[in-house]
Amino acid sequence: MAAQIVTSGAQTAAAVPGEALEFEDIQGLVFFGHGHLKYSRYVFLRVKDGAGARAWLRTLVERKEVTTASGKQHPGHGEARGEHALQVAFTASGLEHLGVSPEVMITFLQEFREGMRDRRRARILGDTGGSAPEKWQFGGTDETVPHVALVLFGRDDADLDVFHASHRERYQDALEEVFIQDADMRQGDKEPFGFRDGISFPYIKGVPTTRTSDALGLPIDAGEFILGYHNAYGQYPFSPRVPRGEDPRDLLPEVPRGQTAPGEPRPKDLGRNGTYLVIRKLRQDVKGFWKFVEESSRDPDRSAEENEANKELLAAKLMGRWKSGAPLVLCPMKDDPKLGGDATSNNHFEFGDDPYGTKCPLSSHVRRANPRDTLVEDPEESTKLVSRHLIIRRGRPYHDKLAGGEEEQGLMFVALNTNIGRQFEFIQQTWMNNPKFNDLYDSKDPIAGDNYDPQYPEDDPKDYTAVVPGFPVRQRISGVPRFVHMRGGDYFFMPGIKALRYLGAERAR
Amino acid sequence: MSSHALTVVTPIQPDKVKDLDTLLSEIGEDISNRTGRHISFARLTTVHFLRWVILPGDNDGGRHYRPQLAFESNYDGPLDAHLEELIRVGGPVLARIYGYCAGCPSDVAGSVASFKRFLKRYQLRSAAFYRGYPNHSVQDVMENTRARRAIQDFLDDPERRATLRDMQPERLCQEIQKYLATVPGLKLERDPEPRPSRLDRFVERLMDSRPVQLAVGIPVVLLLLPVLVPTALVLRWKESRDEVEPKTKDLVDPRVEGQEDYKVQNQLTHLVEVHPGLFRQLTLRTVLGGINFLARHYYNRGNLGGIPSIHFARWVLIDKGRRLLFFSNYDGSWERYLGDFIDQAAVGLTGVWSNTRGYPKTRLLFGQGATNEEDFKQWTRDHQLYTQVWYSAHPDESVRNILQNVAVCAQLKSQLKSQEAAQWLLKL
Repeated sequence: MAAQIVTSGAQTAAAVPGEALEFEDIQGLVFFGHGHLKYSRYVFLRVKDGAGARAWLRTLVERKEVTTASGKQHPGHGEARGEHALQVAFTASGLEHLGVSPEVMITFLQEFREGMRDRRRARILGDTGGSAPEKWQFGGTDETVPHVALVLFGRDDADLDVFHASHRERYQDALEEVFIQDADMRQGDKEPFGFRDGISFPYIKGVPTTRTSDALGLPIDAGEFILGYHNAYGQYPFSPRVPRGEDPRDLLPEVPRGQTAPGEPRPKDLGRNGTYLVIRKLRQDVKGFWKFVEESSRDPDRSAEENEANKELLAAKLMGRWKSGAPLVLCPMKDDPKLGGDATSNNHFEFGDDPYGTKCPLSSHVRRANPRDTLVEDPEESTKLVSRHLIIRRGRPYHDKLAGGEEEQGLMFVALNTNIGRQFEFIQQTWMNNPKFNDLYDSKDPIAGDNYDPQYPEDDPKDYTAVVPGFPVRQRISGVPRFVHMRGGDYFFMPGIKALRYLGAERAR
Repeated sequence: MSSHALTVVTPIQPDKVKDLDTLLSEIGEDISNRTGRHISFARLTTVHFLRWVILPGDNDGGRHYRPQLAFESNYDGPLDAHLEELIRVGGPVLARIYGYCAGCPSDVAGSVASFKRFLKRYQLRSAAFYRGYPNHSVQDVMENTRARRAIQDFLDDPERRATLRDMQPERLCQEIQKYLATVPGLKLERDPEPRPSRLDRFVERLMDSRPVQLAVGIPVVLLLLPVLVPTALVLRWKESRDEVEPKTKDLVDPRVEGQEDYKVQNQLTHLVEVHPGLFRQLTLRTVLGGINFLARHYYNRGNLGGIPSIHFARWVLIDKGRRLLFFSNYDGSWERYLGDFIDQAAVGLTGVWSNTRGYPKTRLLFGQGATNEEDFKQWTRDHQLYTQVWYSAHPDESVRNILQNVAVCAQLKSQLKSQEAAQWLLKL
C-alpha cells in the first residue's frame, strides 16, 4: 500500500556513523511502494535452464532495469516517478537452480531455506485446514514452488501487459511462468473489507522520507529491513556469505569487520543491501466477515438505524479503527472520517490510557499488529521491544475474476524484514494468532487470525472468541470464523544489485 | 499447598537406549493414553508438569558421558505422596521405563518402597528453581478454571443477555454469585494468599528501592572488594580464552522444533557442558544460588525478571557438576520466549550460561552474551534436546490466565461495591 512519503530536502543521515545506506545498491521496494504506479503484477517463475536464467539476470542488471533507491529516486528526494518499476527476488530452491553452492545456501536463514510450506512453518503461520500448503495455488508443493518472483509495476492494465510481454520475450527460453497474480490500487487505499489500509509504517533511521506521523516516531535501525547494517540490537543481522574463492571476480563486498575470527580470510557478503521478502496471497472472505458482524451486533429490539450503527461499531471494535481509518482510541463512540483521512494525525495515538480496552479492545487487529506502548508495563520499554518486531508492508489488494461472474478478493501481502523468525513470523504467531495475547484467554486476531475453520479436523468453534469490553460487562462472541485464508506464497531473498550481478555471473555449475 | 521440583537422573543400560527411546516416544505421542497402553497422566492429582528426556551418551565432544534418563516433575505436597501416586498410576509402564535403566529393582509394582528408594537414590537437587504460582496447586488451578467457565456460561446465555445488559455492576455481580451458588460441586471459598515472610518483604524493599539498594549495596561491595577485584581479573582472562562455538552447519534436530507449537504451552530441555575448573564452578554456583534466592523470595508472583510466561523452570547440575541441565515449561512460542530472555533477563541468563561451553562472547560474567541476539538463539537451539515425554495438567492455561483466575475467584463471595464490582467485571 502507498507509503506516506513525507518529502523532505534534508540530507540523508548515516544509519550508524560510517555506515551510510548504499541506496544505489538497494532495490527500491524497501523504501517505496511505487504508489504512483497503481497496477502491479507478480510473475512467479521456475528455472528451466540455469545458464540461460543467469544470462537473463545479467542483462537485467547491465541495463539497469531493476529499480533501485538511487539517483532521482534517492529517498532524500522523495519517491521516484518512473514509468515502470521492476523488482526481483528468489526462493531458496531458486538460488540452488541458479547454481549457488550448498556452503553458501547454509548461511541463509533457516526459515528461508525451509520455505513457507514447511510443516512447522505452516503451523507457526496458522496455514492449516483450508489454508494448508497442499491447497495453495502456488508454492505449496515441490512442483509449484516458484524460483523467482518478478514484480512489475505499471500505470494501467494495458501498460502492464506491454511491459510484461517485453520481459517475457527475454526470459521465456530459460524460465517458465508457474503463477501470475495481479494486484492493484484502483480502489485507493481501501482493503477489501472496506477499511483504510497502509497507514502505519516504520520510520527507518537515516531515511527521512520514511518518517510518518506515528505517535512514537521512534526511528528503527536500518538493519531490521536491510542486511549489512546494524539492527535493533546494535548488531549485524545474519547475512548470507560466500567464501572468497567462490567470488573470483570480486563482485561482492567483504563482510563487516569483526564478523569473522581474526586471521581467517574475510568471506564475501552476499546479503548486504538485500533483504527477505515475504509474499502471501490472502483471500478475504468479505461476505462472511460482514455477515458475521451483522449477526453478532443485531438486536431485534432496536431500530434499523441503531442496528446499522452497532454493526459499524462492532466492525471497528474488531479492527481497532473505523472504516475511514480513524483510530478507536481517539474516537471511540463514532467515526471521524476527517481524522481517518488525515495522514498527519490518523496514526498519532497510543494505548496507554486504555489499559482494559474499553475504547479499543485488547484483542483488536491494530493492538496486535502493533501493540505500541502497551506490550509490557513500562511504555518506553514497550516501544523499544515493539521496535524489534516490525516489518515494512508493501501489499496491494487483488480481485480475481472467477467462473460464473464471481469475484475473489484479497490482499497480495508483501512484507520486508531481515529476520523472518523475529519479525514477520513473530507478529503472526505471537501477536495475531496467539489466543493468550494481552492476557486474553481464547481470542485470536478477529480479522486476520487463524480462527474457526470447519476444514480443520480438530477445531471446536467454542475455542474462538472475540471479547469486546463494555458496560456493565464485556460482550463475548464465540465461534469467530476465519476470514483470511492463505492461497499461496513463499519466502524470497531480494538481493542488492551487486549480489544480483554475482548471482547472474557465469559459472561452471 | 506449595509446589516443588523433583529431578531424577538415572543411567540407562547402554544397549537399551534405542528401546527406551522407542517406548518413551510412544508414550509421548499418546499423552492422553487413548490406546490405554500407556500412562493415564490425567489421573495424577499432584502433578502440574512432568517429562522424561533421554540425555544421549557422549554428546559433548571432549569428555565421555554415559546415556542417562532424566525425569522432572512439578508437584504439590509431600514427595512421598507424589511418588506413591506416580507409582500407583504409572505402575507397569514405569517398570518398563526404568527396566531399561541400570540398577532398577525388577518388581516395581510389587514393591513400592524399593522403587521409591531407587528413584530417591538418583534424585538431584535443583541449583535454581522458579515457580510462576508457588502457592496454587493443580487442584486450585482447575477449580478456578471451572469457576471462570461457569461465569462465562452464565453471562453468555442468550436467554439471559437482554436482562443483564442494563444492570448496574453491583447488581450484576450479585446475580453472578447467586448463580454460582447453584452450580453443583463448585467451591466458592478460597484460602487467602499466604502473607509474605519478613525476608520476602526485606528482599522486596531491597529490589524495588534505589536508596535501600545503595545503603546495603555499597558497604557489601566495599567489604567484598578484596575478593571481587581478583575475581574480575581472572574472569576477564578466562573470558578472553573462551571459544565461541562455530555456527553449526546443519539444521537443528528436526525433532526438537517438530514438537513445538501444538498448544499454548511449550517446553524446553537444554543441556550444556560447564567450563572446566574450580573457578567456573564457583561463579556458576554463586549465580545460580542468587537466582534461586530471588526466585524464592522475590520473583514468586508470575514474573521472573520481567518474563511473565514461565510456569516452572529449573537448573540442575548433573555429572558431578560437569554439565548443566535446564528445564522450562512456558507459554507461547520459542521465538517469544528467547526474545523475552534477551530483552528482559539477559543479565541473569548470561550470568549462568557464560560459565558454559560455546556461549556467545561475554564480559565480566553478566555482560553481552545473550544480547548477541542471533548468536544466543542459535546457541540455545544447538544445545536443546528432544523431549520424549511431556505432560501438562492444564495445557490451555497461560500463567497470566492462572493468576487472573486466582484474582477473580478470590472475590467470589465478597460483596462488591460499585467501583470494585466494575473492576471485577473487567476481569471476565
